[in-house]
Amino acid sequence: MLKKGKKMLALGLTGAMVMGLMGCSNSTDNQDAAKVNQEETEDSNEKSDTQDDTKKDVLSDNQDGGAEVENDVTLEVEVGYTAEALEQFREVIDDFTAQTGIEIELVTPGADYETVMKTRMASGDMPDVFVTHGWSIARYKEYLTRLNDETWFEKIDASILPVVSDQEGSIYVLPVTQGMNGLSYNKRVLEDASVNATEIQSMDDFKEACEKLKEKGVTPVHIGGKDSWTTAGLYNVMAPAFYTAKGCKYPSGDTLKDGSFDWDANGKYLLEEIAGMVQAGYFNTDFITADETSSVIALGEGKCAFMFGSVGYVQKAKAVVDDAEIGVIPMPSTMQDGESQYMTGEGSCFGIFKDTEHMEQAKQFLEFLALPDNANKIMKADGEMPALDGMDKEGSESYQAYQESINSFNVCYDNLFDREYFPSGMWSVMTDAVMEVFMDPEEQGIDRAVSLLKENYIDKYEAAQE
Amino acid sequence: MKKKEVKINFFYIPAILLILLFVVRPFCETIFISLTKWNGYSSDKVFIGIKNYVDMLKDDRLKRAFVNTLIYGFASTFMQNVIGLLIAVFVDSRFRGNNIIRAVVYMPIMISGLIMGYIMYFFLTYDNGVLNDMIGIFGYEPVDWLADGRRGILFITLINTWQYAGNCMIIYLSGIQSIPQMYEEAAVIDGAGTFQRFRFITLPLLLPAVTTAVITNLIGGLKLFDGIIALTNGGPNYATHSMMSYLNSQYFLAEKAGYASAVGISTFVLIMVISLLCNQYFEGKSIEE
Amino acid sequence: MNRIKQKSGTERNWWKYLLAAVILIIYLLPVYVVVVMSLKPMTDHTSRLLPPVEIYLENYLKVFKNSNILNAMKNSLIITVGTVAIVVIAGCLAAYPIARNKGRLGRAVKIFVLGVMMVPGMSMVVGVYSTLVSIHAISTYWGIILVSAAFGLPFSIYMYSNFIAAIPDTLDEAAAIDGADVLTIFFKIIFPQLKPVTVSVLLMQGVSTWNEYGYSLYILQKPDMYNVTLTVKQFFGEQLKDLNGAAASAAVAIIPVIIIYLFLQKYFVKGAIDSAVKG
Repeated sequence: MLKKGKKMLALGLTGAMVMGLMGCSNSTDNQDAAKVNQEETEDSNEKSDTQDDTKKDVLSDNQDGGAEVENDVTLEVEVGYTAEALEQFREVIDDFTAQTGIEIELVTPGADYETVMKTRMASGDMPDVFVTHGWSIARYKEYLTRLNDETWFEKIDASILPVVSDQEGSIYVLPVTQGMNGLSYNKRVLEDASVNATEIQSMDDFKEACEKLKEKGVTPVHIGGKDSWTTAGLYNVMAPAFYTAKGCKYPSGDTLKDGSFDWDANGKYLLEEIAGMVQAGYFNTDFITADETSSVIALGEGKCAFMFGSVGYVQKAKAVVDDAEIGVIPMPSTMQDGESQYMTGEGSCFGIFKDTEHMEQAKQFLEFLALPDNANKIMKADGEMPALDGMDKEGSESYQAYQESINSFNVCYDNLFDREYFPSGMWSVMTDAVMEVFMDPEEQGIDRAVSLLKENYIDKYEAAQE
Repeated sequence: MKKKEVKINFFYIPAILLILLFVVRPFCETIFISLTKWNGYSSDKVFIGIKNYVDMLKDDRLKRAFVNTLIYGFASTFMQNVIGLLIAVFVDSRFRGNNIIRAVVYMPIMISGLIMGYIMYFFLTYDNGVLNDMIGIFGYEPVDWLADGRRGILFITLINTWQYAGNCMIIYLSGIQSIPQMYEEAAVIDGAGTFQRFRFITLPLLLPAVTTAVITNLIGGLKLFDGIIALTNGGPNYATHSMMSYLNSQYFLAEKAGYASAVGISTFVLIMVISLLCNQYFEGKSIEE
Repeated sequence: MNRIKQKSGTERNWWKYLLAAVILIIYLLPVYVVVVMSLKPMTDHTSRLLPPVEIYLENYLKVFKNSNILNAMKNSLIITVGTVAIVVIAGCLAAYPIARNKGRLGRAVKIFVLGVMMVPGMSMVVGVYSTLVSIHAISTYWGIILVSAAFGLPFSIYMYSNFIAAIPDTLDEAAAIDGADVLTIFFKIIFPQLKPVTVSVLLMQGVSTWNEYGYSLYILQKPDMYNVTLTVKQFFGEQLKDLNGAAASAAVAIIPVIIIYLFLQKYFVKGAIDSAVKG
């Protein structure tokens, strides 16, 4: 026993010694990194007056003066695309290299994109250009270059511009596509159950439709709870109908924003609705363990009727089942006369690292992506809706489906719920809260979910105020 | 002799340098992070002392992950040893093709835990899962196996056991084969039955092998990570996380890097204490024998 | 006479063959399922247990075309060989003074090494990553090799020191009296005796480096640096998962490993035994 104690002590001492040695050097390193990150990079925009020539340069292979851009460099570009989408994006990149001579090194961590980007931010080692997947303001802003003075700024679609702007009206990304979030549905399935999608104007209509579908033996709503973003996405799409959309039942947009939202009184309404849907059997049997892919397949094959989320599912479902007919509707309101809502989010948005060594080339690359032909290719790849004027709207199946829907509804638009009304960092909390309700759709589960949201909301709101 | 001792101390240098640079330095940085509130990527780190460690005490999910880690560590170590020992005894009993069994049982160790987790996912999905197909043959309704956390834990433990039981088998097989035949023969003459021979001759002589088998598998089980990520990703609702995968989710999904680092440091202490205790226990045992 | 005895033995042992068959099925079924799935198109929703009606090789074409898995194998090989080399050489070097010097330093180093062995690697991702960034080692072979080696070293030092401690030091003392310097003594006299333990360190470290995932994900950022695990993970991590394509990638990843294992089985088994008995 004594010997054991001695061993432990020795171990502890060695550890403590080494830590003392290494610990100091470490913390200074971190501070240095932090300092570098905090430095303002005003100078990055100083050449903006020459931007008008850049487009010409892109096309004329950069022959004459103006913004003479050195092209003997390699840009590191990090994107989240995989498989087919990645192949299509690669074509765009090859064109860019062919035209400008600037090499692109593509980094594609796939499903681990977010995690890898977080590590890279932590060490201040960012790619020159990267996709911000919905987080250009909330997460990446401090690492990005302000891009308001770029030529393509004027072309940004009015519905996405507020989404990618911060409070001062600065933007940090080139939005090539945007995601519209509502409900996707399989047209044939709804027809067979004699449900008319355009008549789903309120949550009550929606539930009525679910009942009809259930009678027909179809799963009303498919959700892939194994993929954490699908559950958070469910909360995000449904929340406006309860709290923030025009004419909603519990309007609380202002209190959510100023931190005074009364979670104990109002936090449960949305979660109760979700619990009700679970108990009514509106979700697929394996809603906890299925993944997003199986939802998309179910939607395409007509094994389910609805999927909550982006209109991008239209194209994805068609990729799985060729002749699938998929439509979209906005999220119905909680009140009969309330407005239905589409939530706009980033699709493929490209930002430039503020400390990149190749600012000019990076801007040239964005300029290139903003050209309609290239933007269209990206739109084809990610399946989302165009975000720039002059893009081929007719070529986007998502846009078509969306366009079809807006005439039948009284639609209002907003940013994604969490980006607009929650402090930063609530995404995983939303996942957890919905999962609590999925696992236990009774009072207890709802209470746990509410307190999860409440605690984190207050904590993160206060942190943001500091 | 003294001079030589000093000289060979230089032999430490390459290894110690590498370890200091890539293990100890990051480890110290982790300790530093564990004392801060940090989302894991912004330049904004706030020093908060030991608050993260205090918070751990009231984190129910961490308690779950802690218990799971012990289950993954001890239950799969126990089962690996029992199954490994049984298969070793079986392979040792002579029959044609016993070498094939030995080779096949050891084989999964070659395969990455991550890939194995994915392969097992094919077995356990609700739609089209192999296990559901199999019970379907006997007329049972399909089950959503991983929707229940307890079943998830069971499957992760079983898969870990299955994948690494071969290691124990080999260790025990060599142990059994190194036992001098005369002991067995003497016991047979004394009229000892198969079980008695096993209990009183084979098992005690195997004890040194047991030590290694237990400790290596235990550390493996306690550090379990890849397989969980591939199979359940810790879900549903944090029910199947180990400390390592919980740490990962806290760091990268919940954006609580400071807290996750505190979990990491605690896991380190936990694993260290457990394996030192085991080491002491077995050392004491083998001296007694 | 002998033959008759054997035959009756076989009959008496029928349960052994039954048990053997059950074990075989339990251990080979996953491989079978992966192969079957990899030979079916994504749209084929028949049971994963049933063999494909028609052999569909498209999945494999996709694996070789889209993912450059051959390049990934080359990367894994380079990384594994590099790591194993460092782990073996630096490991046995460091183990020598631990085993021979019974003084305080030796004991302290041994305990230190034991402690490091238990550090959960994944808890230090950011620390390791920023270290590598500061020395420009991201997406380089040497970066991942040094990190894997650093994490593998404690185990190898532990095994080597136990093994060397069992070698009587009369030999090296005699050589020292003859005036040989320590390096010569080590490489001429000690190292050749370490062959068995070297084989087991080599194989165990080799397998774990080949299969490494956690650190590779962060260190090998560029696709042309991906190792095999990362390449397979790409298939499973797609937004629209093609499980059959993923199965093909898993098959391509594991089948060579299994074949190599079957050829080197003898050494693997010996390595495992040595690590157990001597360790």
